[in-house]
Amino acid sequence: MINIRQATIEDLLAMQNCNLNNLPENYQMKYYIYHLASWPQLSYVAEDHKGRVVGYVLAKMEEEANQLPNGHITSLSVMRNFRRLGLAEKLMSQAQRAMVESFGAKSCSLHVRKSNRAAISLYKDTLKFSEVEVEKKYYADGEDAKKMVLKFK
Amino acid sequence: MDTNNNKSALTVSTVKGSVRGAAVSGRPWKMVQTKRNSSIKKKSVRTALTSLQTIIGWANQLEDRKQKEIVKRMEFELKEEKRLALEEKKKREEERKQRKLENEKRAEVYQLVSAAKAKRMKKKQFKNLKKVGSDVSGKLDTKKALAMKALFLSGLDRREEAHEVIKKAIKNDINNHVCWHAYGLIYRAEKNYEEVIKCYTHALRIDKENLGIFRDFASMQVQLRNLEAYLEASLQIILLRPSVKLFWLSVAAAFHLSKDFDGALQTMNIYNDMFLTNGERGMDYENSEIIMYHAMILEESGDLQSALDLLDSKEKTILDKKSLKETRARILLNLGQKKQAEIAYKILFKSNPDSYHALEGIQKSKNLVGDLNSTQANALFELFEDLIDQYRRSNTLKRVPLNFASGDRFGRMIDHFLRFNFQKGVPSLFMSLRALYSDHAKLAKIQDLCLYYVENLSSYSQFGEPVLSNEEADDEEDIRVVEPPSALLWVYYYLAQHFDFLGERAKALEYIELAISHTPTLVELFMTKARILKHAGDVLTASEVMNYARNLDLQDRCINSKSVKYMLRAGNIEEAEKTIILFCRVDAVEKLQDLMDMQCSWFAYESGMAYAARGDYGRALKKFHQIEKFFFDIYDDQFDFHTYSMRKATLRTYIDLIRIEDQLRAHPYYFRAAIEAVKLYIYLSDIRVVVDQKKDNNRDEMSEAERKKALRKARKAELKGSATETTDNASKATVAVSTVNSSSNGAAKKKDDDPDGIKLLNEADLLTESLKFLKPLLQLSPNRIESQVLGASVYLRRKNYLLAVKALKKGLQIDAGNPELHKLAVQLALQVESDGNINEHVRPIVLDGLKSIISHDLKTFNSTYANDYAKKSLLHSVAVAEVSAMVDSPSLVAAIDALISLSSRIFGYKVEDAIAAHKSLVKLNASQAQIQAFSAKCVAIFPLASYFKAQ
Repeated sequence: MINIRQATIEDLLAMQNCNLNNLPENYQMKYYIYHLASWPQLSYVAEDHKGRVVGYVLAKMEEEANQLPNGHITSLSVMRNFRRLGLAEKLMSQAQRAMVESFGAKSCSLHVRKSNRAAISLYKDTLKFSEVEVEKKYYADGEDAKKMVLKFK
Repeated sequence: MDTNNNKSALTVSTVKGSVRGAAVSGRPWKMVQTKRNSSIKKKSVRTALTSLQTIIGWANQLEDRKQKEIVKRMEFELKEEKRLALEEKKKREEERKQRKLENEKRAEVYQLVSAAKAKRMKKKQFKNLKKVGSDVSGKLDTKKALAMKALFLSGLDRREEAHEVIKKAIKNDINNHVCWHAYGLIYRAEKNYEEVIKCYTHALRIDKENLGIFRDFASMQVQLRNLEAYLEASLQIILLRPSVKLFWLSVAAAFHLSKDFDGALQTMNIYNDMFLTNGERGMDYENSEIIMYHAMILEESGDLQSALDLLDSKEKTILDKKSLKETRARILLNLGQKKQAEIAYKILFKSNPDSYHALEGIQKSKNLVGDLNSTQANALFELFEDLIDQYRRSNTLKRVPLNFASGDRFGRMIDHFLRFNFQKGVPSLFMSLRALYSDHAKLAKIQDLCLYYVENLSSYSQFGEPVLSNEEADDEEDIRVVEPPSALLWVYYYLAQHFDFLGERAKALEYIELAISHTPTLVELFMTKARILKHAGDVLTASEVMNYARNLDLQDRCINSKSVKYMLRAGNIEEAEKTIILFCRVDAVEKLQDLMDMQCSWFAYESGMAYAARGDYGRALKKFHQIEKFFFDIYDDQFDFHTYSMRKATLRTYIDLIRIEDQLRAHPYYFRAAIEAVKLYIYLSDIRVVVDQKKDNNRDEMSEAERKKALRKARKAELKGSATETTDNASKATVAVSTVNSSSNGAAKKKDDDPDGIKLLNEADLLTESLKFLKPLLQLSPNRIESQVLGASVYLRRKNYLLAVKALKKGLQIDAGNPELHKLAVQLALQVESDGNINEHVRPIVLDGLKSIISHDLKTFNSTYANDYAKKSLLHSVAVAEVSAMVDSPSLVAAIDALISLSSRIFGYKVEDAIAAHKSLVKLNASQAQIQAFSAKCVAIFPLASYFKAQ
């Protein structure tokens, strides 16, 4: 039984744990707090029947002056055991809805490792993102990132 | 010659003066009369009169002019005065500007110098900073320059020098607020907040209107949760600058945090009047947040109707639609407006059909929760069906009805649910259904269905029994549908987890092997196999299997993490460290350190457990202290948000943050580490007591030299297992040192002066050390039985008998039959009896408290407990035996026999308990025959457990 809801401060430790378990890009707690303190509407979690976080999306708004408001996905992860439930898609759709409602976002962007085929296919095929550019050596280990964008209607 | 000239000049003037009638002015023409006297026309009287008049007029004019002149002069003076005033004002303004600039510059430097930033700064940036700093210092007087210098030193993490310099500055001029402010900032960098407050108080005593210091001071007060002082400081700031929005928000938050809702609401009203009425452009989000915050205060104050009215009246300005809907729905429900609430929750569910919360809201609005009668049950399932038609993709709607269904309805629904998930191949299926297993009927139904599927799928590739011929089928549904081959795989996979849950490891392994031979490349299958083996007590093989799974998918960090965890459980710390760093940043100098920087608490915890199991207690403690440090830092993280959140106007999140931080150490990640740390401290302290006793016993027979030698030996024995520093670690230390040297930003990590935790082990009083972990447990997790058990254990040993009794009582309220508490109660009674040093006022209170727990003598206490609880679990039974040994040794043999003859079911399926029981039997000096009988039984129940195989 999976529940999808907006992330609260209380979830942040579990989100960090989920992130450390699943992804190579990790952040200190303060960065998570910063996300919620700045854009509390944009981050979501998926929890199991015991309230354990099994997936999350951590999102923000890009803060560049003189640009249309754009959302950005900082991190998205679902525990391996909880794949094939469409959780990533459901988390993303909630985050995107909030970007538009609360911040008037015109689009949403994200970075993905060039080698991460599973993720690229999720973003491209399921979530309808399109690839806009390759950012060379975006990751600490020198791997390139694909920047993908979804324009909101 | 000069005198001569002067003389001649004098002579001339004398000559002139001597000519009579000559004009004194020396104008010669006045002396020359060119007309005869008679020819000179005499002026008439009239003319004379006119002249007189003229003269009078002239005099009058003169008077006038004089008057005018006076007026003019007065005017001029006035003007001059004004001008001077203006100049003064200009000058003052100029000065103020200058001061502001200086302050800004200083503020810049202060900010830049903050330790956190300095750490992040690159070499180049730092050079620039130094330049800015010297510019500023040049313009400031020496005291301020000293203050700046001290701040730099603090930023460079050269603490002692910083303190020296700032103290010197303050000594020079104790009444300089800048110096005191700087001193405060230095303490702040060291996180010594109590001292910061003292410094700021000094600074504010000197400069009562310094906004910057006031704001810092306010942040510090709320950080230390001096809420009253925080409120006071916030109000002071408002008095200084009433026109700044975010200062008002601080006041509202200060009232709100101190639960003064009236104050908070009044502040919000003032805020609304001052800032919200003329809605500024571009402030839409901010205003929306403020309204939601206002509603939050109203709701918490209990004024639901006003909160609702506010939300309804401002609906259009609120951008956070989800919160708006959610808050409205909740308030409507709590106001008892159920019809409205139902609509509100349905709207909420529409925007998120996987929200369990919204679905529950709909149910509550329709009174369909708790125990339902048959009409209600029918209504509920009608509701579910209704919703399912609208939201086909909702997982929640598929799963939740299973909680409420029973009997045939459950049978039909679960059949459908299982088939759907097996077709799709959902790995989390078992985890999703496990909550239903508390209901035996449901458990049996699920098992029956799965076994039935296995039979049919392996024979006909169908879930159900085949229909005899297609012609007989009336419905299309009955036409034979061939399921994908993976369906059988997922049923096997499910059954493996199912039987593992029931403690039937052999069956579980059987099914997982079937699954593996069906599809030998699926990572999940090996993960499950490893988990079953772990539960069966074979951690080594489990770790091997998990590592095999890892090798099937080297790109995935999740399986890497799992594998590392299993390696640690198997005691293979070195391999685990090598494996986990495969996913650490390549640019990190010290990869394990990088994990610590990222606050990876699960790895610290598992490592600590592994070190403890290995007997390397120093390193184990070290790991648990690391986790304490993570939580210390996370608590500290809130500091910046005291001001940041006000700027962003996200007050709801801010209040939430403060409240969560207050409860931070109740978090499970902290809780489990603290439990283990306290247990370890108790264990180490007990060892030390034994060692000290041995020393005492030997002392009399020893010479001075011998005694010293023995002391050293004892210490060594104490540290055994942890004192050996491997070369590996030595090299690590060198790496750390070179990092410090190479990074000239000065903020490099300090070298760990106790990498192996030797210092921790050698603390003079281990029990006092344990309080660091115990206190947060008792304070924030008082309702967890573990907290009270450890509380009683530590306080008993520290001879804090009152606290021990308190913990015992509280613990027994949570779990009256807790085996640990049973032992502790008896231990406490025995110790109080024999301890002659108890304060005479304390003793009767302690005895009174004990009497409420132990009403009869200790033997009866134990036999009553045995009657009530011994058959409850293995550990309860062990407690009876252990207490027998303490108070009633003749009954020990019988108690152990009773323990061994417990039925296999009660023996439980937790191998850890069996191992603990075995260790306890050895300690109790049970007879060889008894121990062998116990082991034999364990081998039968846990055939795979490596612990019992080794016995």
